[in-house]
Amino acid sequence: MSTYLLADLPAGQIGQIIDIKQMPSETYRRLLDLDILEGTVVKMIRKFPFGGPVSIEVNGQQIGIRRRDAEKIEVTSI
Amino acid sequence: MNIALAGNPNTGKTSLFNYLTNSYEYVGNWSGVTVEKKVGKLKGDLGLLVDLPGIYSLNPLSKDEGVATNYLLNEEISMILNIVDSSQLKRNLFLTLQLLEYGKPLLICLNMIDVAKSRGIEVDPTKLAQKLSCPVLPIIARTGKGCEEVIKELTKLKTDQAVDFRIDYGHLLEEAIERLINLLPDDLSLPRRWLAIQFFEGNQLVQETLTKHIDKEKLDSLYQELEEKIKTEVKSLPQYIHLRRSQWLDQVFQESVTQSKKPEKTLTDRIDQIVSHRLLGIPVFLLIMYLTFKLTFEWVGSPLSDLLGEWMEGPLTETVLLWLQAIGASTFIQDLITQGIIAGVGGVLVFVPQIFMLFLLISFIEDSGYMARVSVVMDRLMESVGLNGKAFIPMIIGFGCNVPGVMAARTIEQPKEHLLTIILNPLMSCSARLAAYALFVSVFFEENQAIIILSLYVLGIVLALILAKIFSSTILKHEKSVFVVELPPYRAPRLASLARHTWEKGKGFLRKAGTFIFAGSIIIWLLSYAGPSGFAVEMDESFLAMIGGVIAPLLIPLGFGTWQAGAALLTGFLAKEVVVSTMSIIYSVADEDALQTILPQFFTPLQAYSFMAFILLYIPCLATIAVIRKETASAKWTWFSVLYSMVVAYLISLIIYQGGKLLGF
Repeated sequence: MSTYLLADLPAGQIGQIIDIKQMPSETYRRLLDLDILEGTVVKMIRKFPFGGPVSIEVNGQQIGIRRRDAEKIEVTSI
Repeated sequence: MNIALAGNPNTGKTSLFNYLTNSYEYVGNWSGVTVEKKVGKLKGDLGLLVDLPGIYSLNPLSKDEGVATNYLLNEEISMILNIVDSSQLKRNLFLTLQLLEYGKPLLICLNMIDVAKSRGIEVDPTKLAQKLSCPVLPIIARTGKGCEEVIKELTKLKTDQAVDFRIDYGHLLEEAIERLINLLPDDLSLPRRWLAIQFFEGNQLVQETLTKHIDKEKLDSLYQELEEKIKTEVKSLPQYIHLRRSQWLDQVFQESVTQSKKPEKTLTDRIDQIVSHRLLGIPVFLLIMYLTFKLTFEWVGSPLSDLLGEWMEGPLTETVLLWLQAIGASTFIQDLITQGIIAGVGGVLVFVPQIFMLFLLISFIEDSGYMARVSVVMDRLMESVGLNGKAFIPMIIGFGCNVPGVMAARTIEQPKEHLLTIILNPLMSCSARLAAYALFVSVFFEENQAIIILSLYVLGIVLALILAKIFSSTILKHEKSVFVVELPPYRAPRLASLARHTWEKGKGFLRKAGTFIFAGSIIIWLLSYAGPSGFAVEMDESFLAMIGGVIAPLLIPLGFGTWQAGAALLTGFLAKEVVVSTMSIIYSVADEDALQTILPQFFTPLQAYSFMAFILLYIPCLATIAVIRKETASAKWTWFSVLYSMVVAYLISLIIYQGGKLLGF
């Protein structure tokens, strides 16, 4: 079992969040609102170029977040 | 009786609102924040339904979300109607739990049961109702299925019945809640347990309310003490509360929800493969905008406008004139009505087809779910100028009208980004300005109408991006930014709701024509009819010419230093359509011919383009300035948005005209 940063998870792959590191508290709160926290299973959908945002799928719901924030989220591939 | 309608964003709240209320609705102001929300009269005389903004939690991050919490804190509510998306049930129920804790009778509308089914999710409403101890009704708000039952159920709900709903948050938190409740005064009308839980979740608005009754230091120490104890288990108090609720919901779900098959590739995925493509995303967006303009100006809108215009100039004016002569109206009245009102108001009404077409297309983009994609596709670009992708949505809405555009900025969480999005919105070319462009392009750029108008829209966007970069790296410097957007599944917009949304946006334009522009036209015509030497003077000797003449010299370097242009711009401050009204009045008196044939005597194509750019930029209209004042709550920033646009307009028109001349246009 290998750990990745969510931002590095290849498109189409699924991972489970094991840790969310220091990020702006507002962003963290919003993720929590969307039920994204340690233990949540996420799928990488696509990454936009030039360090743009990433689209992920969580509980059947697609969400766009910034690359910078995705770099704060650690996942294990499953 | 006031019933509050609450739910997550994108759960079909507006559809339900429309089904449950009669068309009558008004916009109200409430204490706390002066933000409008829709209020509608419920069918069957049940009372009023208050449409709260879409929220994930009662703990607000943006100004928009604060409206809902403020409403619960400050207003009298009899019951709550909570709409939830069945296909995203768990996430939606986090809000439901907070609403249940508020203690008012609650009715859950289980929306999109059809979507949930297609994803293999089966929800048992009876079991869910048992667990949550409140009625649960399955509905499909999009088609109106089940909405009648909602009305029936609402009549049955007892408003005075206190709801005792509680989740056990564990002894540490329960103890702290108890301690906080004991500190509250006895005569407090708000639900105590709810206040305490919200406080420990970090709800700022609740904290402000509590500090009216409890010492702030005391509150802070309560919070910190508890967080210290809980930190051994989890990161923060909000997370702890979330986890507790999550566990509780998991138990509920075991009995009431079954997930059978995992869905394969959905239609949404397939559409996204193209429109949200990592590289094609931006080109696709530009193509969609291009098609929007083609439809509005060349394929549908303009041909209809032309027909309308011919009818007004010809048959309508003639009939009215005959009728006026028949009843023996004086020449003054005849002139006032035909040259003042018909020319002024009619000159603006001619553009109704284009404007409604544009609103229809914007509504389509909003309703289909594409808007959220745009914000993701555009985020990288927006980030580079110090904004975020979400700021693109108010910008697109601003194409319709800057007033809702400025208000739409509320969803942006970061205060400085919010401010920046507001003050740049007037650069988005609204439909009122469209009337002015449409007039000029039909005269000067007949062959390339869409592309010329598109260039003005692009000019507005490019300037907005450049100024965003300048402002965000100087006066509005900020670091952290929140960008987390939900990408809802695509939905084919329904004709009825498209029509309703288009009408809601467009009716303001018609109302303005009937009031503002009507009155303005009369005044402008009178000013053009009267002069220092009396009535029925030559137009060049009129008061209007004198007023316009004052600023005309300033406009000479820009290519339109005539008193006519000066007068049109001055009056255009009231509403940009008035530029067209004024010109129609001025030039219709000078000659009987249509405006189209007269304008080329006063403008060259280059001057016309410079003038259009100036109209786009020179000042936000009166209504926009008022809404900027309200949304920024700052006179300083309101003045700033007026002044920077004047400076920018002057510079740009100067560059266009002088540069154009050098290039030989």
